[in-house]
Amino acid sequence: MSVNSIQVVTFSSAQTLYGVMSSQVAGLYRASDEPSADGIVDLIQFLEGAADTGRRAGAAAEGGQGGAAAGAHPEEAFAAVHRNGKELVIRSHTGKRYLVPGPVELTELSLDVFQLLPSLISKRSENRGVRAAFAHGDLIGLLVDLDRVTVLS
Amino acid sequence: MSGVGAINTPDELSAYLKDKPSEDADGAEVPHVSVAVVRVNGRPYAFSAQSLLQVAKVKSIAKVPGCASVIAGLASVGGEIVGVVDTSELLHARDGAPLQSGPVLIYGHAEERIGLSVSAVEEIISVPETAFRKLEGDQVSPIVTSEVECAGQYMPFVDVGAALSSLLGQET
Repeated sequence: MSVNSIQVVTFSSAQTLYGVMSSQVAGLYRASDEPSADGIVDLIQFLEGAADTGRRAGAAAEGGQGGAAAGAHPEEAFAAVHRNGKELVIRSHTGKRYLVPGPVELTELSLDVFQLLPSLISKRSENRGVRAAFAHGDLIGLLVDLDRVTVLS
Repeated sequence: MSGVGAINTPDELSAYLKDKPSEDADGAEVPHVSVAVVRVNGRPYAFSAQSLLQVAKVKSIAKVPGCASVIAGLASVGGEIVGVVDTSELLHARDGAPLQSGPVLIYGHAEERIGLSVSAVEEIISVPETAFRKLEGDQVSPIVTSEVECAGQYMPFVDVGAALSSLLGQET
C-alpha cells in the first residue's frame, strides 16, 4: 500500500509554525492536568532558546494569570503557562513529555508538501531537532523529530 | 561595408544582426557582465547575475530557529521551499529588522535554488567589463572586490557566487 500523506500535529510559536508526525505522538494532554514540570521538555525553548519561553511566560502574566519574568527558570515558566491553561503536553511513543503552545491541530498533509531542509539552512543551523520543511497554506512549517530533541539535565 | 556580403532581403539582414558581435567604438569586442541592480536598505548594489534564475516576490519568509543571523529563513517560490539569505546582514548593511517579505533574487547554486532578500530590484542589465574598477584597502571584502558604473553611478559589485560558496562552506 503506497503512502501519499501523513498526519502531523501542528502548533505555533510567536514566530514559527511547527509540526510533529503523529506517529511520534502517543498522547496529548492539557498542561494544567500535569501535576509537575519534572522531566517535561519545553519544546519551543529547546528549538528557539530561552527568550521565547520568557515571552510566553510574560504573555501569561499579561493575561492576568500571573507568571514568571522573561528568562525565568523553566519551572517558573512552566508554572506560568500551567496557570494560563493554554499549553499542552505531548507524550511521545518513548514516554518523554514535551510542552507545546496551544492550540494544536491534527492535519493530514500530502507528502508532496514536504521537503528536506535546503543545504543553506542545514549547513548554517545549530538545530538538530528540525528534520524537514512543509508548506501549509500560505505558511511554511518546520517538522520536528522528537527523537532528536534531547535536553541535558 | 567591409567584410559583409550583400544583404538583399530581410532574412539576410536578420541573420546578419543575429550574428553580429558586440563591439565598442574601436571595433574590439568588449566582454559584458550581467548584473542585477538592487537596493538594500536604501543603498545601491550590483549583484552578479550569471546564475540568477528569477526575481520572486514572496509574501513571507519563515524564520528557522538556530540559524546564523545571515540566514533570513525559508520562502515558498513556485511551489518549492528555498532558503533565503538576509542580504542586509551579508553586506553588513543592516538597518532595523530583517526583511520578512518582498523581492527575493533566486539563484541557482550547487544544484540548489537559493534566495537573497533585497529591498528593491531596479534593473537587470549587461555592462561592459570596462565599467568595473577595483576597490582598495578596507573597502574590499571577500565578496565585494570591485565597483561598477551603472546609470552614471558607481556601486559595489557583489560576487554572489563567492558569497553563496562561502555560506555553504565550499571552496571558491
